[in-house]
Amino acid sequence: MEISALIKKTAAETRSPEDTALVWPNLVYIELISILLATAVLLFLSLVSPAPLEELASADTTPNPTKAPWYFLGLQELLVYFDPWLAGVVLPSMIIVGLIVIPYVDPNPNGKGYYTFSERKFSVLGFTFGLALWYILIVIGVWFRGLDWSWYWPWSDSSIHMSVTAVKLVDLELIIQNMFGLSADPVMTLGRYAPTVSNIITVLLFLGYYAVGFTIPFLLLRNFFNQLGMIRYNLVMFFFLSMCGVPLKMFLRLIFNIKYLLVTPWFKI
Amino acid sequence: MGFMSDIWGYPYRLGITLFLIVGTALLTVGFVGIAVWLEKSFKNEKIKK
Repeated sequence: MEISALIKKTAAETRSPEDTALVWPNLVYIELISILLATAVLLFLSLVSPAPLEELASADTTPNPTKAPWYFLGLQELLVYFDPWLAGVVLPSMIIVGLIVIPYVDPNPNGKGYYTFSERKFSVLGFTFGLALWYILIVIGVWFRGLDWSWYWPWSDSSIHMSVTAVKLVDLELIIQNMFGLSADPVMTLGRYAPTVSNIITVLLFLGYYAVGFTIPFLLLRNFFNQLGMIRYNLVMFFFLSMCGVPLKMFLRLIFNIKYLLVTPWFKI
Repeated sequence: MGFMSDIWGYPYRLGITLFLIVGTALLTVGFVGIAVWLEKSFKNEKIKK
Protein backbone atom coordinates (compact mmCIF):
# COMPACT_ATOMS: atom_id res chain seq x y z
CA MET A 1 0.00 0.00 0.00
CA GLU A 2 1.19 3.50 -0.81
CA ILE A 3 2.24 5.49 2.23
CA SER A 4 0.18 8.43 1.00
CA ALA A 5 -2.92 6.26 1.23
CA LEU A 6 -2.22 5.67 4.91
CA ILE A 7 -1.98 9.35 5.76
CA LYS A 8 -5.37 10.80 6.57
CA LYS A 9 -6.03 13.96 4.62
CA THR A 10 -6.66 17.00 6.83
CA ALA A 11 -9.92 18.86 6.43
CA ALA A 12 -8.23 21.77 4.62
CA GLU A 13 -6.73 19.48 1.98
CA THR A 14 -10.17 18.23 0.94
CA ARG A 15 -11.51 21.74 0.29
CA SER A 16 -11.64 23.40 -3.10
CA PRO A 17 -9.29 26.44 -3.63
CA GLU A 18 -12.15 28.98 -3.72
CA ASP A 19 -13.23 27.72 -0.28
CA THR A 20 -9.88 28.56 1.37
CA ALA A 21 -7.97 31.69 2.43
CA LEU A 22 -4.26 32.47 2.02
CA VAL A 23 -1.93 32.61 5.00
CA TRP A 24 -0.35 35.76 3.58
CA PRO A 25 -1.89 38.29 3.70
CA ASN A 26 -5.23 37.10 5.20
CA LEU A 27 -3.96 35.40 8.34
CA VAL A 28 -0.68 37.25 8.93
CA TYR A 29 -2.44 40.63 8.82
CA ILE A 30 -4.83 39.55 11.57
CA GLU A 31 -1.92 38.19 13.59
CA LEU A 32 0.04 41.44 13.14
CA ILE A 33 -2.93 43.50 14.32
CA SER A 34 -3.36 41.13 17.33
CA ILE A 35 0.32 41.54 18.26
CA LEU A 36 0.07 45.34 18.07
CA LEU A 37 -3.14 45.38 20.14
CA ALA A 38 -1.69 43.04 22.78
CA THR A 39 1.48 45.18 22.99
CA ALA A 40 -0.61 48.35 23.39
CA VAL A 41 -2.73 46.76 26.15
CA LEU A 42 0.38 45.52 27.98
CA LEU A 43 2.06 48.94 27.70
CA PHE A 44 -1.07 50.64 29.06
CA LEU A 45 -1.39 48.11 31.93
CA SER A 46 2.27 48.49 32.92
CA LEU A 47 1.86 52.29 32.99
CA VAL A 48 -1.28 52.38 35.17
CA SER A 49 -0.29 49.41 37.36
CA PRO A 50 3.48 49.29 38.04
CA ALA A 51 5.15 45.98 38.88
CA PRO A 52 5.05 45.31 42.65
CA LEU A 53 8.79 45.59 43.11
CA GLU A 54 9.87 45.93 46.73
CA GLU A 55 12.95 47.24 48.48
CA LEU A 56 16.29 45.49 48.30
CA ALA A 57 16.29 42.21 50.21
CA SER A 58 17.48 42.54 53.78
CA ALA A 59 18.19 39.92 56.43
CA ASP A 60 16.65 42.27 59.03
CA THR A 61 13.19 42.41 57.51
CA THR A 62 12.18 39.07 56.04
CA PRO A 63 8.56 38.96 54.92
CA ASN A 64 6.20 36.39 56.44
CA PRO A 65 5.18 34.52 54.37
CA THR A 66 7.65 34.79 51.50
CA LYS A 67 5.48 34.26 48.44
CA ALA A 68 6.66 33.24 44.99
CA PRO A 69 5.44 35.20 41.95
CA TRP A 70 1.73 34.44 41.42
CA TYR A 71 2.31 31.97 38.59
CA PHE A 72 4.47 29.80 40.89
CA LEU A 73 2.13 30.01 43.90
CA GLY A 74 0.32 26.86 42.80
CA LEU A 75 3.60 24.96 43.13
CA GLN A 76 4.32 26.67 46.47
CA GLU A 77 0.86 25.64 47.68
CA LEU A 78 1.65 22.03 46.69
CA LEU A 79 4.51 22.15 49.21
CA VAL A 80 1.86 21.99 51.95
CA TYR A 81 0.87 18.53 50.72
CA PHE A 82 4.04 17.08 49.20
CA ASP A 83 7.75 16.94 50.01
CA PRO A 84 9.86 19.56 48.17
CA TRP A 85 11.37 17.05 45.71
CA LEU A 86 7.84 16.03 44.68
CA ALA A 87 6.16 19.44 44.69
CA GLY A 88 9.13 21.26 43.19
CA VAL A 89 10.77 18.72 40.88
CA VAL A 90 8.74 15.58 40.13
CA LEU A 91 5.26 17.07 39.74
CA PRO A 92 6.31 20.07 37.58
CA SER A 93 8.43 17.71 35.43
CA MET A 94 5.46 15.37 35.04
CA ILE A 95 3.22 18.30 34.07
CA ILE A 96 5.71 19.46 31.39
CA VAL A 97 6.39 15.94 30.05
CA GLY A 98 2.64 15.17 30.16
CA LEU A 99 1.86 18.27 28.10
CA ILE A 100 4.61 17.36 25.60
CA VAL A 101 3.19 13.83 25.32
CA ILE A 102 -0.41 14.98 24.56
CA PRO A 103 -0.05 15.40 20.75
CA TYR A 104 1.64 12.00 20.45
CA VAL A 105 -0.99 10.06 22.39
CA ASP A 106 -4.01 11.74 20.82
CA PRO A 107 -5.41 9.55 18.03
CA ASN A 108 -8.59 11.63 17.66
CA PRO A 109 -8.41 13.59 14.37
CA ASN A 110 -11.49 15.66 15.27
CA GLY A 111 -11.19 19.29 16.25
CA LYS A 112 -8.51 20.33 13.75
CA GLY A 113 -9.39 23.78 12.50
CA TYR A 114 -12.66 24.16 14.37
CA TYR A 115 -13.91 24.33 17.94
CA THR A 116 -15.50 21.21 19.39
CA PHE A 117 -16.28 19.75 22.77
CA SER A 118 -18.74 17.01 21.80
CA GLU A 119 -16.15 15.21 19.65
CA ARG A 120 -13.35 15.42 22.23
CA LYS A 121 -15.05 15.09 25.59
CA PHE A 122 -12.32 13.16 27.45
CA SER A 123 -9.50 15.35 26.13
CA VAL A 124 -11.24 18.63 26.96
CA LEU A 125 -12.51 17.44 30.36
CA GLY A 126 -9.15 15.94 31.35
CA PHE A 127 -7.20 19.01 30.37
CA THR A 128 -9.62 21.53 31.87
CA PHE A 129 -9.71 19.58 35.15
CA GLY A 130 -5.92 19.85 35.41
CA LEU A 131 -6.02 23.51 34.43
CA ALA A 132 -8.77 24.21 36.99
CA LEU A 133 -6.76 22.49 39.72
CA TRP A 134 -3.70 24.54 38.78
CA TYR A 135 -5.69 27.80 38.94
CA ILE A 136 -7.40 26.93 42.23
CA LEU A 137 -4.00 26.28 43.82
CA ILE A 138 -2.81 29.68 42.57
CA VAL A 139 -5.98 31.36 43.93
CA ILE A 140 -5.34 29.72 47.32
CA GLY A 141 -1.69 30.76 47.33
CA VAL A 142 -2.46 34.36 46.35
CA TRP A 143 -5.52 35.11 48.50
CA PHE A 144 -5.86 32.48 51.23
CA ARG A 145 -2.35 32.01 52.59
CA GLY A 146 -1.09 34.42 55.23
CA LEU A 147 1.32 34.43 58.18
CA ASP A 148 3.36 31.19 58.45
CA TRP A 149 1.56 30.00 55.29
CA SER A 150 -1.55 29.40 57.43
CA TRP A 151 -5.00 29.52 55.85
CA TYR A 152 -6.82 32.85 56.29
CA TRP A 153 -10.39 33.36 55.08
CA PRO A 154 -11.11 36.81 53.66
CA TRP A 155 -12.98 37.61 56.91
CA SER A 156 -10.17 36.38 59.21
CA ASP A 157 -7.79 38.84 60.89
CA SER A 158 -4.64 38.25 58.85
CA SER A 159 -2.39 40.02 61.37
CA ILE A 160 -2.82 37.35 64.08
CA HIS A 161 -0.73 34.17 63.95
CA MET A 162 -2.69 30.91 63.76
CA SER A 163 -1.83 28.10 66.14
CA VAL A 164 0.73 26.02 64.24
CA THR A 165 0.31 23.13 66.69
CA ALA A 166 -3.33 22.74 65.57
CA VAL A 167 -2.11 20.66 62.62
CA LYS A 168 -1.37 17.09 63.73
CA LEU A 169 -0.44 14.68 60.96
CA VAL A 170 0.10 10.91 61.03
CA ASP A 171 1.52 8.54 58.41
CA LEU A 172 -0.95 6.13 56.80
CA GLU A 173 1.10 3.11 57.88
CA LEU A 174 0.76 4.12 61.54
CA ILE A 175 -3.01 4.48 61.15
CA ILE A 176 -3.21 1.00 59.60
CA GLN A 177 -0.87 -0.38 62.27
CA ASN A 178 -3.06 0.93 65.10
CA MET A 179 -6.36 0.14 63.42
CA PHE A 180 -5.55 -3.55 62.92
CA GLY A 181 -3.16 -3.93 65.87
CA LEU A 182 -0.26 -4.91 63.60
CA SER A 183 3.32 -5.38 64.76
CA ALA A 184 5.77 -2.49 64.52
CA ASP A 185 8.69 -4.86 63.88
CA PRO A 186 10.15 -5.10 60.38
CA VAL A 187 9.31 -8.33 58.58
CA MET A 188 12.37 -8.25 56.31
CA THR A 189 15.44 -6.19 55.51
CA LEU A 190 16.43 -5.04 52.05
CA GLY A 191 19.46 -2.84 52.63
CA ARG A 192 18.17 0.36 54.23
CA TYR A 193 14.57 -0.70 53.67
CA ALA A 194 13.11 -2.63 56.61
CA PRO A 195 9.35 -2.57 56.10
CA THR A 196 6.72 -3.49 58.68
CA VAL A 197 3.51 -5.30 57.71
CA SER A 198 1.60 -1.99 57.68
CA ASN A 199 4.29 -0.43 55.48
CA ILE A 200 3.93 -3.25 52.95
CA ILE A 201 0.16 -2.68 52.99
CA THR A 202 0.69 1.01 52.11
CA VAL A 203 2.99 -0.01 49.23
CA LEU A 204 0.30 -2.40 47.97
CA LEU A 205 -2.39 0.29 48.35
CA PHE A 206 -0.25 2.75 46.38
CA LEU A 207 0.45 0.27 43.59
CA GLY A 208 -3.19 -0.86 43.80
CA TYR A 209 -4.38 2.66 43.00
CA TYR A 210 -2.51 2.55 39.69
CA ALA A 211 -3.36 -1.12 39.05
CA VAL A 212 -7.11 -0.55 39.52
CA GLY A 213 -6.93 2.72 37.57
CA PHE A 214 -5.21 1.01 34.64
CA THR A 215 -7.57 -1.97 34.70
CA ILE A 216 -11.03 -0.38 34.99
CA PRO A 217 -11.01 1.51 31.64
CA PHE A 218 -9.40 -1.56 30.02
CA LEU A 219 -12.33 -3.72 31.16
CA LEU A 220 -15.22 -1.27 30.87
CA LEU A 221 -14.12 1.07 28.06
CA ARG A 222 -12.46 -1.38 25.70
CA ASN A 223 -13.14 0.96 22.78
CA PHE A 224 -11.04 3.64 24.47
CA PHE A 225 -8.21 1.14 24.90
CA ASN A 226 -8.46 -0.09 21.32
CA GLN A 227 -8.38 3.43 19.92
CA LEU A 228 -5.20 4.28 21.82
CA GLY A 229 -3.30 1.00 21.65
CA MET A 230 -1.13 -0.47 24.39
CA ILE A 231 1.66 2.12 24.67
CA ARG A 232 -0.47 5.22 24.29
CA TYR A 233 -3.11 3.83 26.68
CA ASN A 234 -0.49 3.23 29.38
CA LEU A 235 1.01 6.70 28.91
CA VAL A 236 -2.39 8.41 29.03
CA MET A 237 -3.52 6.45 32.08
CA PHE A 238 -0.23 6.99 33.93
CA PHE A 239 -0.40 10.77 33.55
CA PHE A 240 -4.18 10.88 34.09
CA LEU A 241 -4.03 8.80 37.30
CA SER A 242 -1.05 10.78 38.58
CA MET A 243 -2.97 14.01 37.95
CA CYS A 244 -6.00 12.64 39.83
CA GLY A 245 -3.67 11.41 42.59
CA VAL A 246 -2.61 14.96 43.46
CA PRO A 247 -6.05 16.16 44.69
CA LEU A 248 -6.64 12.70 46.19
CA LYS A 249 -3.50 13.01 48.33
CA MET A 250 -4.56 16.54 49.33
CA PHE A 251 -8.03 15.27 50.26
CA LEU A 252 -6.61 12.46 52.41
CA ARG A 253 -4.32 14.88 54.23
CA LEU A 254 -7.04 17.44 54.84
CA ILE A 255 -9.81 15.10 55.99
CA PHE A 256 -7.87 12.25 57.63
CA ASN A 257 -4.70 14.16 58.68
CA ILE A 258 -2.53 11.72 56.73
CA LYS A 259 1.02 13.02 56.27
CA TYR A 260 2.54 10.34 54.06
CA LEU A 261 0.72 7.62 52.14
CA LEU A 262 3.95 5.79 51.43
CA VAL A 263 7.19 5.90 53.41
CA THR A 264 10.43 4.42 52.08
CA PRO A 265 14.04 5.25 53.01
CA TRP A 266 14.47 6.93 49.61
CA PHE A 267 11.27 8.91 49.20
CA LYS A 268 8.00 9.69 50.95
CA ILE A 269 4.73 10.39 49.19
CA MET B 1 -13.55 9.24 65.65
CA GLY B 2 -10.76 11.55 66.74
CA PHE B 3 -10.02 12.83 63.26
CA MET B 4 -13.56 14.22 62.96
CA SER B 5 -13.26 16.47 66.04
CA ASP B 6 -13.68 20.17 65.30
CA ILE B 7 -13.49 19.70 61.56
CA TRP B 8 -14.76 23.24 60.89
CA GLY B 9 -12.30 25.05 63.19
CA TYR B 10 -8.69 25.92 62.41
CA PRO B 11 -6.91 24.46 60.40
CA TYR B 12 -10.25 24.55 58.49
CA ARG B 13 -9.85 21.02 57.15
CA LEU B 14 -13.39 20.65 55.84
CA GLY B 15 -13.58 24.26 54.68
CA ILE B 16 -10.40 23.95 52.60
CA THR B 17 -11.53 20.58 51.21
CA LEU B 18 -14.89 22.00 50.14
CA PHE B 19 -13.18 25.08 48.71
CA LEU B 20 -10.85 22.86 46.66
CA ILE B 21 -13.61 20.57 45.38
CA VAL B 22 -16.18 23.28 44.64
CA GLY B 23 -13.57 25.65 43.18
CA THR B 24 -12.06 23.01 40.89
CA ALA B 25 -15.52 21.81 39.82
CA LEU B 26 -16.75 25.36 39.08
CA LEU B 27 -13.63 26.22 37.08
CA THR B 28 -13.84 22.96 35.13
CA VAL B 29 -17.51 23.59 34.35
CA GLY B 30 -16.61 27.15 33.36
CA PHE B 31 -13.84 26.03 30.97
CA VAL B 32 -16.03 23.30 29.47
CA GLY B 33 -18.81 25.90 29.19
CA ILE B 34 -16.49 28.08 27.12
CA ALA B 35 -15.65 25.06 24.93
CA VAL B 36 -19.36 24.25 24.40
CA TRP B 37 -20.14 27.91 23.73
CA LEU B 38 -17.33 28.13 21.14
CA GLU B 39 -18.56 24.95 19.47
CA LYS B 40 -22.12 26.29 19.22
CA SER B 41 -21.08 29.79 18.16
CA PHE B 42 -18.86 28.61 15.32
CA LYS B 43 -20.98 25.65 14.28
CA ASN B 44 -21.58 26.95 10.76
CA GLU B 45 -17.87 27.53 10.23
CA LYS B 46 -16.98 23.89 10.88
CA ILE B 47 -14.95 22.49 8.02
CA LYS B 48 -16.93 20.00 5.99
CA LYS B 49 -15.26 16.63 5.77
